[in-house]
Amino acid sequence: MPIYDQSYRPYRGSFSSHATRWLTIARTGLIQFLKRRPFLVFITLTFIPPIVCGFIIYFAHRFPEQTLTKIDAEFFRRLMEIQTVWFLLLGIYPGAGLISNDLRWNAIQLYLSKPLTKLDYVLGKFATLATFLVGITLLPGLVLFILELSFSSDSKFLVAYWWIPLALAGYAASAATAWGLIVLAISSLSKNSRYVGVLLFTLSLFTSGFAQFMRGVFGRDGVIVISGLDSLKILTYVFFGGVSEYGDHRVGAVVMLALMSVASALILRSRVRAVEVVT
Amino acid sequence: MPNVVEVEAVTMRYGRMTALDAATAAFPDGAVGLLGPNGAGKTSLLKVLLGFLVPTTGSARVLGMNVLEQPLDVRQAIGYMPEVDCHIPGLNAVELCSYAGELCGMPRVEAIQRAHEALYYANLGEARYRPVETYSTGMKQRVKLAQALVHGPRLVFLDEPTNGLDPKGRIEMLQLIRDLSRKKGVNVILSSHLLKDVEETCSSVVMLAKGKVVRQGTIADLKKAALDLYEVRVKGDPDPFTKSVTACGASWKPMNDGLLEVSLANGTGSEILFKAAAESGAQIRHLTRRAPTLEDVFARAVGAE
Amino acid sequence: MSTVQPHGDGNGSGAGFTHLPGAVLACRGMSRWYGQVIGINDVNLDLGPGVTGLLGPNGAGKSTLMKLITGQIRPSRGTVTLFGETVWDNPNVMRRLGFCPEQDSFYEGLSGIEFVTGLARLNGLSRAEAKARAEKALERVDLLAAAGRKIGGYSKGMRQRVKMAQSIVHDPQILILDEPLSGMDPIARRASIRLIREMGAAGATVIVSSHILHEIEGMTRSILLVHNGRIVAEGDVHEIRDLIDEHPHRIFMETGDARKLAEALVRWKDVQGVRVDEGGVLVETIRPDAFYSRIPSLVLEQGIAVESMTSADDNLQAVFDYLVG
Repeated sequence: MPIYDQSYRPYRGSFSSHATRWLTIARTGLIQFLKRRPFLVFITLTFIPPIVCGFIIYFAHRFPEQTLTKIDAEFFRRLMEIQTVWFLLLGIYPGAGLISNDLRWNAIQLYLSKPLTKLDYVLGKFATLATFLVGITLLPGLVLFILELSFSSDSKFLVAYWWIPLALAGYAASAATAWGLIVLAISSLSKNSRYVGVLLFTLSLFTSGFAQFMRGVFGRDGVIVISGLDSLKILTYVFFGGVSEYGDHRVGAVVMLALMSVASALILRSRVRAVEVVT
Repeated sequence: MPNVVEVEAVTMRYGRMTALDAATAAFPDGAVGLLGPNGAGKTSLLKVLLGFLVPTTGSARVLGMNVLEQPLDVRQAIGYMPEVDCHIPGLNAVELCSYAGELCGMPRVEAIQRAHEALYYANLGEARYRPVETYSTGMKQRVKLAQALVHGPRLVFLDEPTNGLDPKGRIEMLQLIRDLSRKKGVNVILSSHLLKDVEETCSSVVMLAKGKVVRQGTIADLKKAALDLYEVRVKGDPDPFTKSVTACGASWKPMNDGLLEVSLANGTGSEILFKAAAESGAQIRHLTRRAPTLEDVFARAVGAE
Repeated sequence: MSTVQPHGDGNGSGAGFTHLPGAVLACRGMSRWYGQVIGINDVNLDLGPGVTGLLGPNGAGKSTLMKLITGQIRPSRGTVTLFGETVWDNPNVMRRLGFCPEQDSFYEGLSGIEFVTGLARLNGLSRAEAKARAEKALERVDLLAAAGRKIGGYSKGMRQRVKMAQSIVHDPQILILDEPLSGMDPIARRASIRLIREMGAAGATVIVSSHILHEIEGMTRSILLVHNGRIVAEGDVHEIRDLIDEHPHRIFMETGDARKLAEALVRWKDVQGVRVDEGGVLVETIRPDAFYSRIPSLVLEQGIAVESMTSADDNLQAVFDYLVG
């Protein structure tokens, strides 16, 4: 018979304050994804549009006579719009499994039996996804802004467009919050991450198509805000000015996204609360 | 020694269903068994003690802290080993345990070190570097125990810890539990349907039925040996022996596994049994005073039979 | 590892094992492997009516054996027959077979009665007959009151009882139960142990696989011990224990006259060791039969009051440990 004299000693070390627990969850979540090769490949792909934009900026300064496009607020707004396309894919790949996998493998029981609140848990999961969402919008945006500045011979660009980094941050934060909450909420609805992915994909496309349909039926462009992804696109105009192809429906888009975020938060609250910690 | 857990008139109602009905109990230090039929309120009580359910009325104290006021502090000082299989996909045992430690607020380096210690204690060897998905039931049970111990809790809740373990694994797990509660100073509350497990590890029990606490106390107190009842097994056909038993003035009743329950007449002792054996040429293979088992206490307490 | 006489070479091939004429379950030279991994290795077996406990460490081959007996897989070599007919793809035999698997998976939306009735109909019973038998089966497992509720709302113990009900609903002559008590509370366990004993006493051939040895002891004395894909021992627990020569029987006799008893016992040639403890004497003997038959006369002659006599290791746990541990 084995003899257990392996010392189990009481722990005499320190415990960090409870405020940092969500960071631990976020960090572990991030590392788990960054460990996987397919994911790294995917993330690299998302940087292709910014790299292309980088070349555009370079050529704009190198060959100023051949203006491919003007480097202005619209340029940065268009970049944000393009990067938002990746949001759907990011929602499906890392996003779908965030809570659904924990539900499936009963990991939430492990989490909630530790000294952290349900809010800590949700915050940590949200931060994992939000890091990626912000990383593919704010980061390249800032880099390109600095790139443009470094190429500028005078301060005309800076004077006119000093506010762009703020707009980038504002858009990245609000888009990531809204989309992050929506993805997390759908992820908490099922134990199967594939269903969640399919659900997300279908919902997004369906609402997009439905919105176009309604637009045709009612002849009112404002209806487009039904679609979350289109609302995100309109959101870019909120921060960068200008008018979308559908007309000025910025208020509508903001309201719609706010509603969706609140609904998602409520869904999350009830789904995570409903977990039977002791079955 | 102050009580490790104190439950005071806790009532828990879900709509029209009452899960706990003014339950009052005290769990002393050491190892205490938490017993009860399905639906008795055990799981609700555990949820209240872990700080997840706010009881309709009443209060509970764990390790001196009020569960309602300090749920996070309570969870800091306790560990929970769930009944169901649970893991975080993609992590191996070391990563899982150190993650568990970090979730309790331990610094990363300490968490990894303690994770290894806890896994050694739970006797999980080289397998700790493989993903938890690939483990057998016994290994998964060990990981669940280790992750509950990483942060050095003063009290652990173990929910059916011998589930799915083969006889050898069960013996090892029970040895671990005894070691934890008797030598390592960690209090244990063991919830199990296997009363033998509880008898082998715990010194006291709390029994729930229909939301109420029906019995609590030391196992020794709850079992009182009947003075003139004996449990006998003879080799082969018991008929000649039982006939002699009756002839000697005692009465008998058959039990399972070929055992006989013999009730002696007043003033006679065990020599009557040997007399009956000698007269009938039977071999007595087993003879003890018949003491109620924890199962008998349980059955009577919850009102069955 | 000890050897036990009836299965001298450890797997009962050829002349080693006891043929049982009219046996219900018969296996001859049965082996099953999965690629390179051997599940069951050259098993010969005859089982008849009554309850038999199937034991062994995890990975020993118990589930493979049960799958072969219930016709879920075919042997790679050898045969397995029930009532003289091969099990595989044989509805005639399956009709007389009841199986309670270990896995917990149900159609959660069905109620208990619907589930058991449905499975009863699969056995060829008419609608009315199936419903009546289902109700009877559910009553036997004490689930009739909750039979109308959906299985999704059942506790673990109740789900287990539904499984048991479906396995007995068609009054099978052979009943295979894989960890039938898991998840049940102590009251339900006791009732289920009694039910299994009753089924065995009524003439069915019942095979129960479990890790909880003392519960097997409550159901039967007849066991089948499997290890590394082979049968290590088969038969009555106590007989097997008697035959394990390498480990002398250790018997504790509780008495106030410990020294006097020890003096008398040490004179017997088959007593290998006598230890005087407080409260009694611990004896070691390699000839338990001879020992036990002489005890009554010794105790009476010497006038020693023996309060209890228990064998520390004449039980299933000890047999398991000595043969497999």
